[in-house]
This record gives sequence, C-alpha cells and structure tokens, in this order.
Amino acid sequence: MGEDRDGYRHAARWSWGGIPIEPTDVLGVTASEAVRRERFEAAWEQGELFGIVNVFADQGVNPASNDIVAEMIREKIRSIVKDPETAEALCPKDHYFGTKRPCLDTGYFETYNLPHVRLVDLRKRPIVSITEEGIETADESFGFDAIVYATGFDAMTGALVAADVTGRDGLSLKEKWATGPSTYLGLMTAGFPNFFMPYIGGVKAYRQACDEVVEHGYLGFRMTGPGGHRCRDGVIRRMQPDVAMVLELVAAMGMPPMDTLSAADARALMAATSRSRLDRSRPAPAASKSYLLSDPPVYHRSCRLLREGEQVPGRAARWRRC
Amino acid sequence: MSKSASAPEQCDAVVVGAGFSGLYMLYRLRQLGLSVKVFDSAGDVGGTWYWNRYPGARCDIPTTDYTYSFDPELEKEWSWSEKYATQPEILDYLRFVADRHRLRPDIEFSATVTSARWDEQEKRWRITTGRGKEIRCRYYIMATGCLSMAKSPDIEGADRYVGQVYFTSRWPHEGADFTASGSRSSAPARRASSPSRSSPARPASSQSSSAPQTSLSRRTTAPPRPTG
Repeated sequence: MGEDRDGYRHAARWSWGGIPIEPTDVLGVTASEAVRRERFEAAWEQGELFGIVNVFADQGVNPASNDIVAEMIREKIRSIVKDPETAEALCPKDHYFGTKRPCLDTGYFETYNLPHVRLVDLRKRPIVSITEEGIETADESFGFDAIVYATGFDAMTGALVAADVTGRDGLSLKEKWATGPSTYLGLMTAGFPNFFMPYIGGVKAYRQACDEVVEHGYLGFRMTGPGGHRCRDGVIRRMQPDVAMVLELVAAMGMPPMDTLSAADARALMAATSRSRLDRSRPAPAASKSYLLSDPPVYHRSCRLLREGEQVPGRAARWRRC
Repeated sequence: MSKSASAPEQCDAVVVGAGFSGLYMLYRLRQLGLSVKVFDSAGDVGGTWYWNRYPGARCDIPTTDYTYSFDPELEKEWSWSEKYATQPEILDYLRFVADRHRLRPDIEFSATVTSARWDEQEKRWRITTGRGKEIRCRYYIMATGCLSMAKSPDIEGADRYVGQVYFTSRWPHEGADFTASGSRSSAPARRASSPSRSSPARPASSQSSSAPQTSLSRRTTAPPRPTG
C-alpha cells in the first residue's frame, strides 16, 4: 500500500472491484500476437486474479477476445499436466474464462502429476451412486477411506431464503423470489419494511449510484453525517421515512421477471453494447438515456468541466450528454 | 413459534451473521446510537472464515485489499504476514477486530435465526432463534453472505457411505488426518488432499483466547454435516 494510505483506499473505492489497478486499454481482438503473448505471460507469471482478468479490455465482453485468453490458459495447463487426457479434462471449455472464479494456483495443476493422484472426469464417466464403500461411476467402482465434498453453495440468496423471512401480508421472501430475486439497489425489497441486505460492495458503479442519489436529491435517501453535513462516501447513515414510498413505487412498477432475456440473448446484447462502448474509433451509440454508465472519475470530471463551460478532452468527450 | 413467559426482548436492530459485513454493521449501527443484537450459528466470529477452514484455504486477492478500511488505527495495529493470507490468519484478524472494538458482548454465538416476521401493527420484526428465544426489532439486517449455505451432495446413495465424510465448507476445527487411514490401500484409486501447511497463528496483539486449530494430525470421528 505504501505511505499514502488514504490515497490508496480512495483509489480502491473508485476501482472496479475494490482493488486499485489500472484497467488496460488493449483490445484482444486487435492486438498483435506479440502483444497478446507478452500481456498474458506477464499476468500468468504474476498469478493475480485482477491481472488475469485484465489481460485485454474486451475479454469480459467479447467472446473472440475471451477465447484468446482461454486458449493461452489451456496451453499452460497442457504444458504442466503430463497426462494428456487429464490435462484436457482440466482445461475449461464449457464457460467463458472469468465467468467462474479462475483458479489461481500454488502448485495446483502440478498436483495431478503425483503418482497417487488421479482425476476422474465425471463429464465422461458420471457418478452412478455412492456406495457403502465409496463411489461408483458409469464404468468403475472405487473404495475410499474418506470422501471430501466440495459441492459448493446455494449461492447469493441461499441464506436469505433459508431463514423464513416473512414480510407484509404473510408473503415470505422465498415465495416472493420464487422466479428470481428483485431488489431496490440490491439493498432492500418491497414488502419487507426495514429489511436490509448488505451485499453490495461499495465500489465503483454502486458508489456512483449512491452519489447520484445524493446529488439529484432522489426520494428515499438523504445522506447526512455528523452535524448534519452531507456525506458523499456512499455510506447510508440515515434513511428518511419516505423510503417506504419508494419501495411501494418500485412494487407498483411491476418490474419484469429476471429471465426476460435468455442467457444467450443477454450475452449477445452485452457483447454488442460493449463493442460499441470500447471501440473508440466508432461513434457513441444513440442512447435514449441522458448519460451512459462508465468510469465514474472520468464521468464526474467531465460533468464538472462541462458545468464550468470547459472543453472535455479526448476520452471523456462522449459524456457530453450528462 | 415458541412463546416466552416474560415480555420479549426488544432492540433497534438485529443483525444475522458475524462475518466481515455483520461485524461492521454492528460497529456502524452502534455509532448511530442504536441498540444492536447479532446472531451467528457459529461458535465465534468469522463467518466464511470460521467455516471454510480446509487445509490451504486462502484469500485470492491481496490481503491488503481484504481488510477493513473504516479505522486507520486498526490498520496500523495489524500487519499481514503474507500477500495472500491463509484462513487461520484472516480468522485471527476478525477476532482481533471483534476484541479491539469490543463487539462480542452484543453477539450471541451458536444461535440460528429460524424465522423473522414483520408485525404491521407494531411496525417491528419478530425474530425467533433456534433456542426459542424471541426478540423484536425495528431493523432486520441479514449479513449472511453469498456463499454460506453449503449444498449437500444430491447424489444417490450418499447416506449409505460408511467412511469418513468431510465438507470443505464445514471443515472440522480439529483438522482431518488422512494419513492414519489405509484400510483400503488396495482400492483402485485413493485421493488424499495435499496438506499444504498453514502459517502459524498470530499476532501477539490479538487477544483471542482460542487460536484456530490447523493441525492435520487429529482424526475426526464424527464429521459434521452442513445444515443446508
């Protein structure tokens, strides 16, 4: 962190994921093979999560760019794991790289070279049943002294719906969210007064949203700190009573269910919009909204400059609508 | 819902979970002058880091960034021994924070919240715990985390198995010993977890009385099953 603790924490709050790194501008699809290789090797060597998801600016939004990173990772796995069949089974192929938590290893892949370690590919040979002795797959029987389950979690909403939370009119959270969760700011949900879910990381886009709520004086929240001064750090200190009204309005809007877009459609939309956002040689999309959501420091700086009647330079030019 | 003979306890806010977010909620709400009660099903603070204690478990972002930033003094008093801290060290850190800000008196451990019902007349939440305790509050906050409900294996015959069963998400506090087994050495394949050793418990400034056990040398006879 160095000497400048406050500066570091500030940068972290405005960063994409809470860790102050400089997002790259390099696009995987247009970079030369040498640049691709250099950036990937550096990230691989460094072995850090935010490095390996920041090889290319477009790897999270453009499947072609994602494929480039994914294939270089598969090359690494193949070079480490000696048995070709085991290596292939370990090579992720059924999801875009980064959509699942990447494996940052300390000797993980090398473990599969140990003589007493064997990977059974359940995609090819599914478990038929667990027996008294061990595990039976489609074509083999195993006896084990111990079974360790790393079978994951009922993620995100699991603990919320497990606790039998019942709001107004006897409606439980589980019933309300039967077709997917719906929230206001990821923090509250209509019909459950004074019920809070502190799940949102207070960084970047969410922090920006909080700032805007304050700046525009939206109903529901007025951020006040000690002595009645406004605070701009995104921490909600007091909530006005009219937050109830906001929640009722949200409920009355009849928001569409969560699965309006199929996963494939959502991905296509994301790819299309992101391409136009990231490719700066192209004009900004004709959005109906008054502004686009992006890098808050750039956005805020641009807004300030525009208010002061100054020219907004280069990269920030597309924020003119704000 | 069970009823207690005496009037039910009242407080301003009930928080479920004493992990990173729950501890901070308690700290923050206290600052606002609210009376707060925290419940956690675990035996101590830590949340995720209390339960997921399998050998080699670590943070996957630099620990400098996996640290509370609300108290600069706290940051001065604590230093991480590794760039990516191990589970025992992160758990120690949360114990240190709980002690330093005297958070424990408002936390009830080994207590599961079984139901929470909004009472429209009283404008209060009625919270019931597994022990049948009822408490009423104005604000109800579930700091229960995104990865806390372990999934039981949905595999035919899972109950039949007579060997030792472990869950990475509910690892026994006394550790697990795979080297003492061996009754099935003729089995076609055995897969032991590679026990990368964790760093020793620390630091001297921590007032926690029960350092996490990371020894791998004790045999577990009754592995816990997740409640999920």
